[in-house]
Order: sequence, then C-alpha cells, then structure tokens
Amino acid sequence: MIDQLTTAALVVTVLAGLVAVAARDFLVSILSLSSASVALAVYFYLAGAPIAAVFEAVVAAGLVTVLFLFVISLTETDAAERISGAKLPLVGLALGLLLGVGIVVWVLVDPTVGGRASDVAFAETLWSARSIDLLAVTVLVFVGVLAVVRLTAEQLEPESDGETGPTAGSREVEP
Amino acid sequence: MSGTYLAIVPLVALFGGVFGTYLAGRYTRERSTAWAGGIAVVSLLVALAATALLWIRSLPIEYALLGEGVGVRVTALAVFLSSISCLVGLAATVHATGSGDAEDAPEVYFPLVLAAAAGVVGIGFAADLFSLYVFFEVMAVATYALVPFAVDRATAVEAGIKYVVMNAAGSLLAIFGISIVYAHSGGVLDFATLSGELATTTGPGPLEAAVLFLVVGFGVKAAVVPLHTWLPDAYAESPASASALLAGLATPAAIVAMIKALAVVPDGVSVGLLLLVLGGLTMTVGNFLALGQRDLKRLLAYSSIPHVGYIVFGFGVGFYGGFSVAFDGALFHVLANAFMKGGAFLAVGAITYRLAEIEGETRTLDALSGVGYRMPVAAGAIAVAVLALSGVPPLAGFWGKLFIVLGSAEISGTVGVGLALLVIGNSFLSLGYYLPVLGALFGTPTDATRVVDRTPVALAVPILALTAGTILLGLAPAFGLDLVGSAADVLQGGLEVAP
Repeated sequence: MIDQLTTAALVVTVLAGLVAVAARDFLVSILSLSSASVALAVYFYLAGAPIAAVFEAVVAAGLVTVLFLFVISLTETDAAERISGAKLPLVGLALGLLLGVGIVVWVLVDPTVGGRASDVAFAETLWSARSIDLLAVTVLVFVGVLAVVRLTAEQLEPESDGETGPTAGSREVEP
Repeated sequence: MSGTYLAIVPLVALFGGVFGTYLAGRYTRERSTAWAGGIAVVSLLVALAATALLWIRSLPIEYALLGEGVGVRVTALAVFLSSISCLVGLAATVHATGSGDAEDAPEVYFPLVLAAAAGVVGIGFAADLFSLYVFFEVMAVATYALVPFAVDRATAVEAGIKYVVMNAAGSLLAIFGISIVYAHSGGVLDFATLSGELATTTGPGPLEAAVLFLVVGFGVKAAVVPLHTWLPDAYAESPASASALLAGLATPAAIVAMIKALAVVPDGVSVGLLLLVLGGLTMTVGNFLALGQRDLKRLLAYSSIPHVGYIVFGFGVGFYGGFSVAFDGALFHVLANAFMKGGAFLAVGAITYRLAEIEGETRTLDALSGVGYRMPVAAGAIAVAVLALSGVPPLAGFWGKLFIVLGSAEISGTVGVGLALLVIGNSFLSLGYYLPVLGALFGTPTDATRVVDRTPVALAVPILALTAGTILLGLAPAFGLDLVGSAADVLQGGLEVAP
C-alpha cells in the first residue's frame, strides 16, 4: 500500500509540475505548482521525513502560492480579473482536491505499518510541534488575501470616486 | 514557571489586532478609519505593555502554544525588537489615521501595518530557524502590499512589482540556506542548541554555502548593495506611514533576522569578513547614490542604504574579532535608525500632505524651499533627523557610529584604522546631501510655502514623539544601551541557552 502511494505521489508531482510549466493560464499554473508541492510533501512524509513534509507543505504550497498570486495580481489586470471572476469554481475545486488528497493520505497511512514512515506522526508534527508556525502562517495567508483584494479591487471597479484613472476610464460600462 | 503565557501576549495582541482592525474597518459605518486606527493603537499598546513586563522578568522565558513543541523564546533580543516594532508601529498608525494614507481602505491598511509589526516581533521571539523564516515572511508579505498601496498610481505599482519579485526570490534563497543548515546539523533547528550542534559537525563544508544563501536571501530585504535596487522606488512610492515603517522597522529588522540566522554559525566560517566587505560596500555606494538627489523623499530613501551599510558593517566587525562594542554599536544604530528614519519619513509625509492641497510638485527641494517657517514642527523634525543621521554629536545617530568606529579600531594594525576611517569618511560624505536639505527647508519661501498651513496636530504627535526619541537617545544613550547591551550579548553568544 505504502509503495503504491509513494509511486502515486511521485507521479502526481511530476505531472503537476509539467502542467505548471505547460499551462497557458497563470492560475492553473500556480495551482498545479501548489499541487506538486503537496504531492511532494506526501512523498517526503512517506519516505520518513515528517518535518521536511511539513516544511514543504507550509512553504511551497502555502507561502510560495501566496507570493505567486501576488505577483500576478500586480502584473496583469487580465490575470487578476480571471482569478476573481470566472475561475472561482476552478480555485474551489483545486483546493478541495488538495484537501481530499490530504485526507485520503491521512486515512490510508498508519505510521506504525511498514516501518518506513517515521514514528513521529505528521499530524503531531504539524499541530503540536510547530503550532506557532501554523499560527503565523494563518495570519500570513489572511494578510496575503487582503493584499490581493487591495491590489485587484480598484482596477476592477468601473469608477473610483470621481477621479477616473486611465484603467478605470477604459473600463467604464454603459448603463 | 508560572505566568509564562505572558511570553505569547505581544504576538497574540498583534495577531488579534490584524483581524480586529479588518472587522472594524469593514463593518463600521462608512469604513471608519478612526475605529480601525483606534483598535490598531490599542493592540500595539497591549503588545508594548506586555513587552515591558517581560523585560523586568528573568529572561529567557520559553512558551509553547499547546505546552509542547517549538514555541517562542523571549530573550533580550526579542524584547529589543518587540519594543522598536511597537513604537514605530504606533507612530505609523497614528500618522496613518490622521493623514489619510489609509482613507481608501482602512480595513486593509491597518491589518497590513500590524502584520508587519507582528512579523518583526516574531523575528525576535522565534525559537528556531524555521519559525524565524515564517515570521520574516509575515513581515515581508505585509509590506509587499503596503508599497503599491496607491494602486491607481502606475509608479507605485511598478515599485511594488520590483519589490515583490526581488524579495520573493530572496526569500526562496533564504529558505534554501536554512534547509542546508537543517541537513548539516542533522535535523536540529532550535537556536538553543543549534550553534553547539553545528560546532561539533566536522568541517565547515556546506555551511559556507548556507551562509552565502542566508546572506543573499535576507540581504535582499535588508537592501545590502548590490541587492538594493528595489529600495529607492519602494520607499519613495509607498504612503508616508508605510515608508516610515519600512525604513525604520522592516529593513533593519531584516538585517537582525539575517544576523540571528548567522549567529549560530561556528567560528571556522568567515562570516565576519563577508559582512565587513558587504557593509563597507553598502555604505560607500549608498552615500554616492544619495548625493545629488533633489527629491526629498527619494533622497531619504537613498540615504537609508548607507545606514544599512553601517549596521551590517558593525555586525561584521563584531563577528570578525568578537568585539562586543561593535555588536552594541550595530544594534544601537538599529534603535536610533527607527527614531531618525521613522521621524523623517513621517515629517516628509506631513509636508507633502499640506503642500498637496496647494500645488502639484511637492517633494523636490526647490518646491520645499522655506517651508520651515510655516511648518516648524515637520521641518524641525526633518532637520533633527538629518543631523542625527549624519552622526552629529549629541543626537541618536552619533553613538551607534561611535561604537562601530571603536570596534573597527580594535582590529589590529592599519586595517583597523582604515576601517574606522571608512566609517568616519562616509559620515562626512553624507553631509554632502543632508546639508542642502537643511538649506532648502529654511531658505527663501516660494509662493506655495508662504501660504501653506501648519502641521496638523494628529500628524505632529507621532513626529514629535519620534524626534524626542532621537534627541533623548542622543543625550542619554545609557537609556537605550541597557537593552541594546543585553540584546547584543544574546547575539554574540550564538543564541545559546544555558541548560
């Protein structure tokens, strides 16, 4: 069981990595990169490195995703629009999928079986050994969301209190 | 020990403030700036009070959230960073409430300011290398959004892009450096034992690579030359209170984070020499870049680079010869910098705020000519700040530089004398761009500066507070040295905790 999971995690990592490079849509790219990190974290865990797995999940899947979302909302209004608009179901689906993978692994893997997984459980590492980091990352993600909201909001609004900037002006919609 | 929960209070107060100010800004009538600002001030005051209570206890205090695992460790360094963070945060918050920096979106602005302050507090409180990184990121991500806060101005967004891209790349290098340390120490990241663990591993080997990654990774945020190119735009384009927060708090805190990570590296790796060279380069290049700037805010932004240089140089001298006076000097300059740079940027913000009501061009030295007669508080604060920044004696900037010079002179032979002269020479060089500022502020008034209104009270309060800090710290340096000395000892001792 562990063996198949290991292989599956590696396959998902590689596939998601390929999608991240090949995708034309930034959002798909970011989300698949994030999936690749989660799959890699699963692999780390299965290989007996729970702390490395937590780092990978927190840093790569959490922080780096926030950073990329930032850069994109800064660079292209189109991309920002896509994130907040039509692709919302996609975001939800991808996040649900990530959560699903996590739960499945959690249920399937019993660290006492197989002897390859370390005796320190992933959950224990995440929730009690590094609780302070978890708190900080919660704030970080919240701040990241606020920032993305700020950086996209005004550009998407057709009018901004009388002073129509260049972007706002070109976007005005006939009533 | 009973009552150790106090150790987590500063962080929890600020984190709570992040969510509290969001709710207050979002759900009060007309997205009230006053409510959100008020809650931000309260949470900063709670954090400051808790920090003061921690300081009178016997340190270090450890606390883990669920009673086990990695938590926070309050050392003198933590108290030091937490105090600076709360003070600069308070000044920036009050200024933002009065000046309209946050007017567009108080429900976003204040949470970001508090998160940046919380990140700096966390850098001090972090008990292991990974927590240090996570809190560093909290600070960094909060400032990523503060720089381009005026999203309708293209130049601000451009500055923001530059800032985010460079610093995100730096963050990745830093975490890579941490991973090398992690591999080399056999999975130990806790500061209490890390330096001992690294000292017992055979040979420096990959540690040298780790040091390079850490220096470059944290060095981007710290604006060490040649990684400084984001800084002038970012400082000049962000709102005044955010500039004060960046220059007075975030950038020096990034240096301290870098030093905290490097403090665990054993003597075999030449950290000191590397920092010495980078610090010397940073102050010299920074000073030459600042010469000839005519835009006051941009000039102050450029002049932040040499101060990064002084601090890094001081730590370099400290690591190189193990001189505690240099550590003291570098940390004292971090403290002084918070008051000097914070006050200067807030004062420029106040002048711009008033002049913007009259004319378009508001920040060049020519447009500001004579503004000191109508706005004595703001102009006086800038005058005190630039004198202190250039290291004129009885002001705060003098003592840090003096200790750094004394430390450099302790290095034997002509090298020591040369290094001391480098710092002194750079201080004189900086007069080349600070004196024209003084001349302009109290020069012949222009049509606009002849009729400009006085400094608003809400803006004068934080400006005067920081200026008073600059003066007091200069007249009575022992006031700050108490805390600075203990904090420097923590760094010099490799952050080890006696069992």
